[in-house]
Amino acid sequence: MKKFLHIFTVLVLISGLAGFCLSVMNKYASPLIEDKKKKELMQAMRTLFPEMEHYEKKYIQEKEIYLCYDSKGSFLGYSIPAKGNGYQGSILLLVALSADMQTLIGIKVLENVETPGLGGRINEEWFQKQFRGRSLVPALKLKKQKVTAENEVQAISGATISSHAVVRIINDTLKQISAKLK
Amino acid sequence: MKLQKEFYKGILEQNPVLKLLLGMCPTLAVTTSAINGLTMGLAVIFVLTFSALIVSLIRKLVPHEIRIATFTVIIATLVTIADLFLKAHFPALSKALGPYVPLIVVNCIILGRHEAFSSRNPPHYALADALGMGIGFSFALLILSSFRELLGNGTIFGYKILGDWFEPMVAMILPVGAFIGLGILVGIMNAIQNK
Repeated sequence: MKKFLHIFTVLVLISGLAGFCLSVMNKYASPLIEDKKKKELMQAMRTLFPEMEHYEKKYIQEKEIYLCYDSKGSFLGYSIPAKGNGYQGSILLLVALSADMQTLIGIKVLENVETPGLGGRINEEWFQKQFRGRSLVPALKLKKQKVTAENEVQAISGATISSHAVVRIINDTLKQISAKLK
Repeated sequence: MKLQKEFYKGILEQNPVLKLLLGMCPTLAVTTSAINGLTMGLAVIFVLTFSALIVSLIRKLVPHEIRIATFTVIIATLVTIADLFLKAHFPALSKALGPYVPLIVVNCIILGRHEAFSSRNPPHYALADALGMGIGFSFALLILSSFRELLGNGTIFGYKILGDWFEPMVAMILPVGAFIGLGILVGIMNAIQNK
């Protein structure tokens, strides 16, 4: 009985202390983490919509989207944080759609855990740049060879799955948003 | 038992990665670039030294039956603290290391040192052992990751070392490069020590 009590007490004490330290650390760290995430999102939005003066936040089925306006108040387009599965884990993108949702203004890869040197190359400037001004009609398409149509983008060689994931996330986002907004 | 001896053994003679062959998983996975290797090394030093200190301080109070459970709780708490710290202050590095920071919890080196040493020795020795092992681990990671980054990308810590003539061997950044690089490193280590 005494042994059991000893074991019980030590475990409860250690776990209690551990829990306490973690909640203190979490309290310190979460505002910083939230802040960093927000800053990154804003910076990405500004890169994709350089003339943006202010934005309006809306919720579609609990997902947040941003409507971007310029200094004159004209509607520039939609900024949508979109998440999906990549090759190694989740990919978080910022998808910028034109006001009529027919053109992809651009994308920014915010978070990913893809293989460095291969899938990780979705972070590179050239890959993300090719999405600028692409047509979304009928849908964005991935090609392994040279791009021939307005709605095509080229995959990273050796990283087809990661490239395809990006395209799929964009198409899925468009489907969800246009269904709710039209 | 000399304090310096306990410290130095972790760096070369009983290097956890190159001699004891422990902690292989993060070593192979994270050494794709020098900065990643270094960050992982520093995180492990933090977790190893603080947990060694705590384990050694409470070693007489913890019943034998629950020692592993207790070590694990302490290690997991420290790893979570390290992970949150990285996310809050170095989000880019945290993203680069991905799931491997939380995986430090199951790094054999840490549990191994506590079971073999920290729980059986006074705090100053436990600390010396932990620091030595942590530095030895970081040292091995730094060498391997610089090697892989140099051959796989032509850079070290992002600085271009090899000129445009160099065609990067992307295989070095892949798992195959990790195994080959590690094998070469262990071989070199053995050769030096057997002289």
